This record gives sequence, structure tokens and C-alpha cells, in this order.
Amino acid sequence: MSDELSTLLERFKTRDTRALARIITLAERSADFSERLLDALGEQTHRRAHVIGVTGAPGVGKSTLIDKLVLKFREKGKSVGVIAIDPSSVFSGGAVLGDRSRMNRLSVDPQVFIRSFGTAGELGGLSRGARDAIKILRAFGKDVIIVETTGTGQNEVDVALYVHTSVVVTMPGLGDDLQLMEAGFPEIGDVFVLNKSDLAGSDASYAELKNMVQLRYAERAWKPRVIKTVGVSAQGVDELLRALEEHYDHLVSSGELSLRENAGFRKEVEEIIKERLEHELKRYLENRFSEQSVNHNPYKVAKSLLGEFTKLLKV
Amino acid sequence: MGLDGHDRGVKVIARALSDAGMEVIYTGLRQTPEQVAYAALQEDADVVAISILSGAHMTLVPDVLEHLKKLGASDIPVVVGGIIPDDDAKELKRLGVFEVMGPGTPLKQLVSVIEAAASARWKS
Repeated sequence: MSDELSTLLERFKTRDTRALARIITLAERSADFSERLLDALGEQTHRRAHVIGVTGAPGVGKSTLIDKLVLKFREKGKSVGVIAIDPSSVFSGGAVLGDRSRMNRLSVDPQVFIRSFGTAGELGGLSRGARDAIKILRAFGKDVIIVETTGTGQNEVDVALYVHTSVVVTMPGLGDDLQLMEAGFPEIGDVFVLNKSDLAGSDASYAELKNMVQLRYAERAWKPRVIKTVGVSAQGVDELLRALEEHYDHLVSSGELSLRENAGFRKEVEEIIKERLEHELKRYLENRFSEQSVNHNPYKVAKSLLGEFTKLLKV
Repeated sequence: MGLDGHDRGVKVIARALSDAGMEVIYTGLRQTPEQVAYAALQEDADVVAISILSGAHMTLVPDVLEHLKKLGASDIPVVVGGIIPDDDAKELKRLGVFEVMGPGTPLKQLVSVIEAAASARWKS
């Protein structure tokens, strides 16, 4: 173990926020660091914690709702970590991450740790850095970890694999029920929230949403709660908190908690292999493409390059 | 920070830095120096960039530096932009501010100052 890692871990054990922040950065930068880190942390990354995913279209009020939710958790004496993920630019790799600006009052509470992430080229699911941040925050001893992602369809399915409870946030007027049917109504929600429910038309939207959830989740053991909230005034947030706790209790008593964690683990191994392969493949192609001229048959070229690439992998 | 209600400039700058490949955590208007310092700490920021147009830079900026120090994060470089008289700029730099930039600073120069500040930190 490198000296830097062992010094950081010493400070990490004493709940040093600076060390926590730095470890998250180094893990995001390098998979090798993550591998060594997780070795050192061992079982601690499986400390009891409630990992909650919050997803929804841009502008439905996720960050504001999380701000209020964290305050409730703090009233109950829970320490909280928030991982706020915003899209990065595909071109520059840069990003303007603004979720934090809606939670700033929280951040002066030493029991609350908020960290922003760019999607870093990840189209669905969680980036490697964000996945590791969940584990690191767990090892640090956070009771509740909230992962905020912007979902616009099916990409929340992958996120759901890494959390215990998935909260899907929507708002009145975001599509009639036909759209809800067609545009991939989320099939991974454990709790549904109709935020901004003080807006006109919220009763109809609520009825629709409830209907939809009943229809889609009829066969499941857990019937998702559907809750009306107003994020800015914290209306309905108590009820949301209760629903989250009920769902966690359900996961524990039904044994689903460990099933979910196992599924998440397998998915993560798969992701890591994919990420490594992709990295290797990119490097390989960079060298080979310069020699390859434009050809009328991309399938043939792909086949021959793939043949060469897999041979290289074996050595 | 403080009572400053201007955020157009800072948004333009945030976009420019993002286009240069950086991750910019926008903390929003009317932050306290303490909030800014905590944000820098938790985000493990490479640079703190403060835009001030209110004239309160001689109270707010030293306050940020003080809070960073208190949190054991005084190695994070602080860059300030805004309408800042030369004497104030000198004083701020004496207090440990990495660079002070006035209005009309080309975005390109701003990007390279931030890059310089960030790399100074990663070398240390």
C-alpha cells in the first residue's frame, strides 16, 4: 500500500472530511487506486446504510426535495452523504454542476457531505467514480446516502442496481398518461413523488400516476408509494421519509436487501470489465486505424480487427 | 457571495471553464464564506474562483481564506474576479489569493490562470 493511501486512511478513520474528499477524488481518477482502497477498507464498505436513488427529468425539483429530505434525516440524528450527478459535456469532458447550489445550507453541517459528479461520458447508470463514492461514504459511516441522477427514460434502471430504494420524481403536466405508457414508464420505482403538487392540474396528474403505478406494479411484493410533495415548502416530505423507511424495512424483512446488493455487485463486475475492455480497445484502435484506409465493408474490417484484438488480449 | 445579486458574469465564466474541460461546481448566489469553504472542502476542489461585484471583497475574500484555513484546506488556491481596485488586489494577494482579475480579462487568460492555480496544487 502506498504511503499516500495509508496516511489518508489513518485520517479517514478519524472521520477527517478532507481525507474523505481526497479519497473520493483519487478513486475517481484511477481504477488502480480504487482496487487498493477497497482492499484496505474491506468489510467496511458494507456497513449498514440506506442508499437511496433519486431520479427524474431535469427541472422537476430533485435537488430542492433532497435538501428538505436531508434536513429531516438530520432531525432524526442520521448522518447523510449526497452524491449529485449532472451531465458532462461529451465534447470537452467539462461540466457545470449546479445541484449543490440548492443544498448549500446543508453543507455547513459537519454530518452532511455533498459531492458533485459529472456523468463523465456515462450514458446510463453510474460512473465508476460515483459507484465508488457510495462505497467510500458507507465505509466512512454515513447512515443515509442519497444519489441524485437526471433520468429521462430507461437509464435509471442501471442506477437502481446500485441503490436500495429508488425514488422517481415527476411533476404535474409532465406528460399525459399516454406518454407515461409509451415513453418507458419507470419500472424500477420503489417510491413515486409528484413534486410541485401545488401547481394547477396536480390532482389529475396524481390520479394518473397512482393508476399507472398500480397497473405496472400489481404483481410485485412491494407496492410503490405515491406521494405528493412541494419541495420548496417541504410539504409531504415527512410522508416521503416514512415511505423510504418502510421500504428499507421491507427490504430487510423480505431478504431482498441482500438480493439487490448481490445483483448490484455482479453488475459492477461486468461494468468494470467493460470499462477496461473499452479502454484497451480504444488504445488498440488508435494505432490500427491510422493504417486502415476507408473500405466499403465495415463489418469485414471489424471482424478482422476484433480477431487481432482478442489474440492480443490472450497474451 | 454575500448580497451580490449578479450572476451573469459568473455563469459565462463557468461555461467557458467547462468548455475548457473543467468540472465547475456552481455554488449559486448569496453564499456565505463558510458555505464556500465547506463546498471547496467536500468537493476536493482544485481551485476556488470567486466573482464579486458588490464591493465587499475586502471582507468576504479574507473570510473565505480564514474558513479554508480553519477547515485545514488552505492549500486550495483562491482566484478572485470582479471590480477590484489595485490596492485591494495587492492586499488580497498578500493575504494569499493566487490571482486577482479585473473586468475585461479575456476568457482565454482566465482559463489559463485557473489551470496554473490547479496545477500548482497538484504538484505540491
